[in-house]
Amino acid sequence: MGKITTSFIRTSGASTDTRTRDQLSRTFTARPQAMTVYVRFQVRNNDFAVNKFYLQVGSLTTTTPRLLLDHASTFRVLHQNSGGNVNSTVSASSVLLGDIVELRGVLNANGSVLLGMARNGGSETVGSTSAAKPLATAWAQQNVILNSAGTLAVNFCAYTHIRIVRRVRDLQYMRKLAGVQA
Amino acid sequence: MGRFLGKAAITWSSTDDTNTKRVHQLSVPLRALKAGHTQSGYSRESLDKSVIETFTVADGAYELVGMIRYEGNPQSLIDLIKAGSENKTLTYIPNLTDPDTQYDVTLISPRSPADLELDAQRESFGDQQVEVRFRLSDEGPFGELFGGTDVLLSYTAGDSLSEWTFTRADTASYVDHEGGGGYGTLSTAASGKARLTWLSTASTQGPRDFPALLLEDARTNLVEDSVNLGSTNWTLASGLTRTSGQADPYGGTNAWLLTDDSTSQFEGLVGAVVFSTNGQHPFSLFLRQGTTSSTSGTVFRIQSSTGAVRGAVTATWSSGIPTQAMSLGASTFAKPERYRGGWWRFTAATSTGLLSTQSNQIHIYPAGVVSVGRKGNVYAFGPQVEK
Repeated sequence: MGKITTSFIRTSGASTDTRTRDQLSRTFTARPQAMTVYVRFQVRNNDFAVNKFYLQVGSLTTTTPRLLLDHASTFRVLHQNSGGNVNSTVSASSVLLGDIVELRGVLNANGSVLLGMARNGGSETVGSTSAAKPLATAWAQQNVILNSAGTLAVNFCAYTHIRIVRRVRDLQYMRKLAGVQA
Repeated sequence: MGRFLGKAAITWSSTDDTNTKRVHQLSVPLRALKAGHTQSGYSRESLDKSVIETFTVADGAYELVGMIRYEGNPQSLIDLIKAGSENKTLTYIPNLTDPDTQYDVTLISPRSPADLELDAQRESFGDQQVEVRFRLSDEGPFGELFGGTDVLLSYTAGDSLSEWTFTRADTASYVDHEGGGGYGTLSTAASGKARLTWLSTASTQGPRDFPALLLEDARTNLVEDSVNLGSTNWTLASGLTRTSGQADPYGGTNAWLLTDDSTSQFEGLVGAVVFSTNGQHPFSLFLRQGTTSSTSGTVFRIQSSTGAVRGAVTATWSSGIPTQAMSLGASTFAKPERYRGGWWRFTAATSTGLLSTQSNQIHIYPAGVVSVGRKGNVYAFGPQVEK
């Protein structure tokens, strides 16, 4: 059991009550290609040691090939296919509950990945570019899922903006596209 | 005629042709995109303008208006117009290198008889242009296409989720913007409804000025009768006084005023909490400054039957604004969140030493537990201990 308080669950009478899981996904037909994934959210879960997802491209579960943004001690972008995975990370140590965080996950044409993270509209901290990993011809599934990998790594998060674009774009471009003031 | 930017195309099938498929390659993707919508509707307005009655038929259809520019193959383009006029399904592919991203559309306009125009910039080269209006075969929205052909997915909190699949098997709470001066009204979302909650940044006390889509994992509130602190599930410790019918964060009147007026003992409210697992658990409570605040503040805590306190929050007040202090629980916690009517939600977590084999309780002491005789009261609502 974690230490994160979630939304209020009202109970009546001599019984407890359970709020069930939110699940949100949609069709995503774009093939694996150079792209930039931008997710902006308010931190409702700062227990970064436990792996939780923010967004995943190409799978509703953990099938591969897929591209995902998550945290597992650090913020991370991960590109995984049958040959293994590559990732890029940025520390989450400075992030507090209630902070507004922007994650920019880049998938390069050679399959390497790069992660950028900005906190409360500030400048971006950028991780190292990973090793290359050839892009598959198709994702495992033509889907994007938020906040989980199905029933796994389900997060607690309040999303304000999500954008996925072709090609490699910097944070300034993504903020402008999303209409976000720094 | 060469290609300019991008690799967009519109395709269609025609039995009039010996081709397997007709393909009209666009010099550039559709330009000057505009969103549209059409719906059959009838309205009438009262003479005093106080009432508008509207009758609409179904949901109508979303449309996209765009310009086909720099056209150097006008015959192919007018064939496209002809096919659309015959109600053939056209398929717009913004980028041929990504063929699965495509839109099956019906041509709304222009329909034959139709003419192309000379291109606004390249007419001297013989290029032509035409404005087209498309409607998706399912009449749904075009969504991220309006962001340009490079935009593969676009969502801003508050946007339609009609292109998404959302599930949650029961109701859940969120914070609505309406009511309470923008500080937020606790509200309930129906089963299957995604929650658009309103937030303020952590550094401010509100009002809540931006929306966000709230997605959470499953959790259980282990506190019984969390919205009725006057039930038999709650025990009075010593001579605590409870007054019902107080305004609550929902905008109802289910909160209680808890009063410790003793000079000789701590008075509080006690509820049993049954844990099934050991270790750290989040807990929370809504509080509003009472009419008389104790100098010791208000304490709410989790305590075992052996008297071990697993986590305690002390709330002290200054002109309705609280300060939260934590002891014997998690060392970090969120600042209290402000709600309508002067309510604040305090959140914390117990220590890791909590044992489920012990009998555990949640306590609310309006005048704290530092020194007897420091009388005071507080409004309380919605205790929660999570599993």
